Amino acid sequence: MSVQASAIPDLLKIGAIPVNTAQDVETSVLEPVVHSDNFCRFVFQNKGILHSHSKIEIGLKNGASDAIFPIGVGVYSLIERVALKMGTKTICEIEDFAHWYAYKSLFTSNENMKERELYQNGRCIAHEPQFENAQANVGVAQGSGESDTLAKSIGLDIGRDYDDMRQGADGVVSNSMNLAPYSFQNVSQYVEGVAGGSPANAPLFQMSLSELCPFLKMNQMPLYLIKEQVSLELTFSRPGTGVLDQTRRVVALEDSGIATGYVIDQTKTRLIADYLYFPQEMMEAYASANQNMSFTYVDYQLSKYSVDQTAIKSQMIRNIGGAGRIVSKMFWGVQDEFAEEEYLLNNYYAQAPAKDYSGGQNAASHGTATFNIKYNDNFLYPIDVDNSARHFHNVQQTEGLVPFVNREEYSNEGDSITERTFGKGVKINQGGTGAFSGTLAARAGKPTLTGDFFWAAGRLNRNERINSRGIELYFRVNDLPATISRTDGAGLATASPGYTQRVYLEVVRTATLTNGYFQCYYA
Amino acid sequence: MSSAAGNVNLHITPSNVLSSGKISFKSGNPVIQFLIGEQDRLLLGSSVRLCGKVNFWSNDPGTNIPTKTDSLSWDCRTGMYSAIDQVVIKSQATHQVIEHIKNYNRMMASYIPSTTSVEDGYAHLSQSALITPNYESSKRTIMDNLGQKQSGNSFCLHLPCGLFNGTQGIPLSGNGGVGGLLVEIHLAPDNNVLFDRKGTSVASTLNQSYYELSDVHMVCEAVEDVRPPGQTSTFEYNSISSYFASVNSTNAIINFNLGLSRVLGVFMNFIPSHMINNWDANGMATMPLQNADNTRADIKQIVYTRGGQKYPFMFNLDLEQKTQPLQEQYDPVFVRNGIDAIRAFTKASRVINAPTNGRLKKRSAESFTIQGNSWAGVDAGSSPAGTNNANKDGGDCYTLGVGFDSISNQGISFATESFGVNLSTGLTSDYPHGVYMFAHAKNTLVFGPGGVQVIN
Repeated sequence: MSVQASAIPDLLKIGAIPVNTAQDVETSVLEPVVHSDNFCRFVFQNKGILHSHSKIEIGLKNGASDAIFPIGVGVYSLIERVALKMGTKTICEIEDFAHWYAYKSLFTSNENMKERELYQNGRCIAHEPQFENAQANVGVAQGSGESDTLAKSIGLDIGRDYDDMRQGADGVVSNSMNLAPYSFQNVSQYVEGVAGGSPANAPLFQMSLSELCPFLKMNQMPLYLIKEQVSLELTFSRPGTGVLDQTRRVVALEDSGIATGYVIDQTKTRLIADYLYFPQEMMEAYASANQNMSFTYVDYQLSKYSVDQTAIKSQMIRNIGGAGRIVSKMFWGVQDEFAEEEYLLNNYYAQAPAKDYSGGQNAASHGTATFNIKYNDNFLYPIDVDNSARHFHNVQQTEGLVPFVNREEYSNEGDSITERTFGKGVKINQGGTGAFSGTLAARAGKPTLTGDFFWAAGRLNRNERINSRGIELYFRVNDLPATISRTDGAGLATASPGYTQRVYLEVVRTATLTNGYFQCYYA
Repeated sequence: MSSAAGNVNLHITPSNVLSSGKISFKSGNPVIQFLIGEQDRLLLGSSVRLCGKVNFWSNDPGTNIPTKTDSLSWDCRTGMYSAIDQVVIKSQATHQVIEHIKNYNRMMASYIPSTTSVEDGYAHLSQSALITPNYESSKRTIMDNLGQKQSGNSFCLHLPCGLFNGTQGIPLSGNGGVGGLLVEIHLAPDNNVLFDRKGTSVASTLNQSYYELSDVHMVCEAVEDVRPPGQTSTFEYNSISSYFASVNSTNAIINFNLGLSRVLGVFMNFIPSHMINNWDANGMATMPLQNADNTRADIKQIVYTRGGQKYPFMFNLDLEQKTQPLQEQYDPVFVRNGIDAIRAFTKASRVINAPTNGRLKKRSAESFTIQGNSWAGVDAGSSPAGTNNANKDGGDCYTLGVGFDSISNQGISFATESFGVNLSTGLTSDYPHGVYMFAHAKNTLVFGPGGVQVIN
């Protein structure tokens, strides 16, 4: 039975198919063909159409001490680089993937973070007012001091309350309040009631293919039309070996030692692939009608550069690249290379200008970041942008979505983040106080999320191909926080390598599928 | 076509700014004007933002910023929007008014709870509009912000209004377009933006406080206009028209000739009249009716009319409080219709309206003294009875409204017939309430070589 070409729906388009079409979904569980603690590769079976929301299940082996995945990117912190390949050709590849994903995670609504992402992948940036709860004061009965309207500050909302009236080892009720992560977030699991601790299964989380590969966000892969091997390669972030080489995988909670030994449980990693099938004659007709297919998609290029805390106070001009390409947008942030396992976001953050509110109203101030972008001999903004709310707006305009982070979390302005802690406190304070002694941060919730989401972005709206000079980023930050130094157990201090500025360019690419073979090139 | 055409980001500085660059109601320059010049481009209304920095001063010379030991506050749910009293958009070429929203901040007091959620308030709106829907955290992080004296509180506001909320680009050309736009922002008086939460502004001298803007500018994006020049063309947009009335009886009647032919919805909010421009009360409160002794004066029945006939409901809307006077929750139909008048209820997925801020009760003094905690005593006290100075999630979301057409989206004509609403209330004492009413209607802008014409 033949099928009219006009009656063939676009099977690759994500979304509803506007005909009454029978659809079968076959699920295959794929083991990686290569797997080590640094790398793994999955090879897809060339059948059906790969559903873009297929999932990779992954987790760590049981750790020696309490740790959770960074709350901004969750389990995606394991991925340093991701590449989708057809035969020997790379269709899309993202370097420093977890940093890229830290930016993309801004746009997940707080409600979804709290109710879905926390369970799927460990992300949990959601907010709630911190109402005054009963706290202990000498001479005050328990239960007093509550208000259901007054909240001095804002804290994280993961669906459970901050724990008040904590009782310390000395039996004294503490005033400090803490939000403990769920047990399932902890990668260190022990069977209850077993003396000395008996390791139990560490949690597994899942990653979506469409999140890993932007190509799959816009297209579903017609595997049955492809004659080459289709593979997905994941390069993992570093596991860490000690104080000076900390892990980029997890966040160590207080009272923990150095978070070493967090290796990927290779027996658990697998890809749960959903293959879509339509009636055979329809798939055959689709194949014969689409022997030459083309896909337009976006890929991301990373430009990484060390910036000096002092030098950045003067205007810097940096060539980002993109010459000869069609670049639709770009975004960037700076990270201190020593912000790692002791920070709630690990290294997957973007540092805002510093603030100093210690000197009273006549001295207190917050820093300013000034940006502009020049390409094809013209600036994107007629006047350099230095208003932090405008930076926020530019991110919004670039993506068409709003970042779901608070003002103080974004630009460091104001004093809205709670002093209550999350996760029993991450081990040290931000700002390079230098103490790595295992002592606890009293206010880990605040120092670790304040000014940690300062991603900036620009949409190159002139629809022009970038000329041979490339894109130039003009930037100046009048006050970045001092870089972090660490002190090892022997008291030897080591300074941070400094700040790294990561700039991602979104470039337009085109891929063609001709007689089962892919070709891809820049648009 | 001008050679200057092409997609651009525009940065517009006010045309009437003082040499100091500072703008405040108190200093006598409450109007900010922006000229978006005539050019062969389409203005993207959704990209228009009012940017700048705002400072709060708790004394007359403007030397001291508020602190946690005083009780200077502003409406935490409308944030920076509470400082905008009017938005006027005119054609730059002809000065013809395209849209004029009076009591803009009062409109936003209903608009924000019906279109955004609490999470939005604590997240992105805290950066863009300085909204933080809790009275204390809003005060601490914005008004008491220690860094503001040197650095200011940054804001970058979208200006929701009919013209800028439209999806069509606004032609700025003088030859087949509006000929540029003149946008006027009228600032609200200090005493309707700021208030002493304890209601003791005279004793505390907080009635000398004021807010001040600096580094004010408008940004927007304009894209190339590829239409042939010189043709007469039309542009459809929504507009908000505003009205004010007051009610002070058990049978409150509001009646206006709207003069609008395609009305999509009408909504209104209430406030005891004495709370308007009052240093001791939140002028942005959207509260239920109450009596002079702060007891409930609930609306029990609503009848909407068009030209004297019941419309769109052919029956009286009896609220739950008519037969169950002790029922404290807002009537669900009341809440639904209020949201529906602003945005089709079925599309309103993010709202602040909730049982916590939808209670009818006696407006006793609200205590915000926290007993037994180390912070107690710093700002201990309570808000005066009858006010909405200190309530959860920004306090009451009491919006009365009716949507006329959420299906065809073409609206109902009130061009020749008046709009009316009759309310049966429990307002038995002499306690007048201000009613801010807003009509949401479709308009057509016709422009051509002969000029610009607005067809309502």
